[in-house]
Amino acid sequence: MTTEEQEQTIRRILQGEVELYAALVREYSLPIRGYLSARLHQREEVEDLAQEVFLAAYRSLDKYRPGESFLAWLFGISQNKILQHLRSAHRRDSAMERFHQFVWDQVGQGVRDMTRETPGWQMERLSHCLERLPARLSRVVRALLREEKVENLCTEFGVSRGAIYTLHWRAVRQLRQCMGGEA
Amino acid sequence: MSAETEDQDLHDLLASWAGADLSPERISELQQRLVSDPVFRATVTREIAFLGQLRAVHAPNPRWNELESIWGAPNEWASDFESQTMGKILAFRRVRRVLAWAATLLVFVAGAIWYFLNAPQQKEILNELAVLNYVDRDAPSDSGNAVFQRLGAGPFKVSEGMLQMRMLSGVTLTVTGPAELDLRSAMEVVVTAGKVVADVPPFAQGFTLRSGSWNLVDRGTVFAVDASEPLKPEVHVLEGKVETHRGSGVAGPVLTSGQALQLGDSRNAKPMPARPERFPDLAEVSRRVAQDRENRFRRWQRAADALAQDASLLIYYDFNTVDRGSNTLINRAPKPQNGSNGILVGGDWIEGRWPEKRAVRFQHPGDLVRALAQETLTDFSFLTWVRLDAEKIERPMSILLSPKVGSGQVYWLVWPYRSANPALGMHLTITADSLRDVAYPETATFSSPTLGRWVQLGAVQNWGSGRVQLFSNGVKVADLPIRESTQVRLEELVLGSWGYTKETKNFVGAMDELAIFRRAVSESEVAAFYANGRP
Repeated sequence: MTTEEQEQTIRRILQGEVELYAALVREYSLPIRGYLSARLHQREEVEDLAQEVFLAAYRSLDKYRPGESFLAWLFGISQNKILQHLRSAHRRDSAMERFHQFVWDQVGQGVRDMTRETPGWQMERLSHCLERLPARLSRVVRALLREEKVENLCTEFGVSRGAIYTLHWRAVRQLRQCMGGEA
Repeated sequence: MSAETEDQDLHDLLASWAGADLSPERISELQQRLVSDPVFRATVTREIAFLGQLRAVHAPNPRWNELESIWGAPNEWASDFESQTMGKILAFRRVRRVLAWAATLLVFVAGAIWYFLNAPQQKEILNELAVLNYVDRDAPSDSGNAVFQRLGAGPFKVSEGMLQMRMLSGVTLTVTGPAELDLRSAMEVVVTAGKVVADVPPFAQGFTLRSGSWNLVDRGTVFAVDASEPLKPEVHVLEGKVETHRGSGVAGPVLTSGQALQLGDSRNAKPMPARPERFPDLAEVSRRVAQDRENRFRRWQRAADALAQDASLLIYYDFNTVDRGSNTLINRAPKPQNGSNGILVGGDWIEGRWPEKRAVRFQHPGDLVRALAQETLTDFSFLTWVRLDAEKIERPMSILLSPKVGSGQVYWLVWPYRSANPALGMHLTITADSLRDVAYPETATFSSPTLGRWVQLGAVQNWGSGRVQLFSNGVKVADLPIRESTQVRLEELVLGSWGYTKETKNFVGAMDELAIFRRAVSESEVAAFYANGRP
């Protein structure tokens, strides 16, 4: 969607054609979900929060200033939603979760900027790269994406948990190489 | 610090991001590194962003019930992510218009009550008793009968020729027309006219054919009923044993191999020798079934090979040229240029129109095929073979779409209509300028018996003639004027689902062939595509 189309769409939504908001949701849902998925690992949480982001954006649409990046605005809302969600979810009870929050405090801003600048088509290519992974690596990476239990993979492959995460690491390396080669 | 050590830190941190536990000491080391090493921090940033994108792109399977309860949306078609968001927004606006909302709700409730009381629903598959296994093409039976057709309870006629059906009980019935049957259950069939041979496996003992005032109960056998003369039906035991009972419940003779009985309508049945030659030889029928399928598959293969030479093809997935174990659909178009192979993101391979052929089954919203086309077309044609497997279809189901936003995007959907009976059609929608949609609807493409059967669908836009045409099973079912001259921008393509989000407009069924042309194909070409691909 060009900037002109985007601003025209927002103008018309504000004039009452609310159904056009679907187009904005469709256009930006992938990067927003990508950003949310970077911090939140459960799909359900991500999807719920993504809906909240778009709802909040709609309710404040009259505050959007033409000329600014609508996507950047959505990312700002997303950032706040993540913070609110993590606070309300009492996430800091475990050492690992405290560690994750520490990491996020260090890198969250950068992740936001990086995701915002990644074109949608490039994200789409991930599907193609995922397809090219060797079977074993593909199995591991897809299993973890589907939130399957690591123990099941350990049993399936007859290896330790550490070995599974190493396979996942290798898979991500190969995906990055694939993306780099095609970009 | 060496690169190797750096990788180990990164490895451990990302493993924890993927779910692994770390010791407190290791956590402390990594925290220290993150704060003190900006290069490491940048690398972690990039990797975590990448993992997020990977998760988002890998289409998730939705959890419908929870989403429904979260939104509480009364609109059955709007339980996908995008539509749910829209539903919530619209609800938000309605809060400021309570009176109007209440009135709307009242109308909706009344409408919903009316709908549930009156609207037709495709429940035939629930009543399914049998599947047609073979239809004699040399002497076709009823024009509506076709292989893979699912049969529910009720009358069933065969005007001429021979067909074979497999009952859900495991019984195989070979029917020679003209014949009239009444399928009562998977274990009971009434033969009013015609010849029927029942091949009953051991686990279906007790299967009953009724003819005249007689019940013929299988006790492990192959037996036949000849009701060519309805007042004098005959039962012939070709193998095994059959009990006979008069309608009043009085037991008649027990027949074994080689015996037959002319039943008549009187109390006195007349014994006679079995005449197996009057019935189809089941071994021969089995051979013909196999040969028939083989022939049709070979015919399709030849046609597919010929079609793959068409230089106007942008994409041609025959769903057969696949590397087993791969999730790639090979694009057979001779000059695909921008048309890519398809990537099976979700879904799974199943048997296609023939046992030798493959198809992709879509069951969940995350079951989809992605591809790139990246061409702008004025004329185009989509031809495909699909099978609907849903028991009840009350929402649109996406066959193919280009999910970008803006003008020229295409949405090709199976579309349910509340007011029509049969109530399934298809929609071809092209987004016009300024995000307006131009829809080309067609009703009644699918009649209820079509559910569970392979159906050929087509959509053609021809700028020269100014028409959009829609096809079903090789026949033109809609011929509509182009309402806006919009070029189609095929960029990304998604088969079987709806873009990135958790949509309910996913296709429930299977796809077995897809051809996308850079031109408007003729009606005869569509008819040939159907004729050559008909299972």
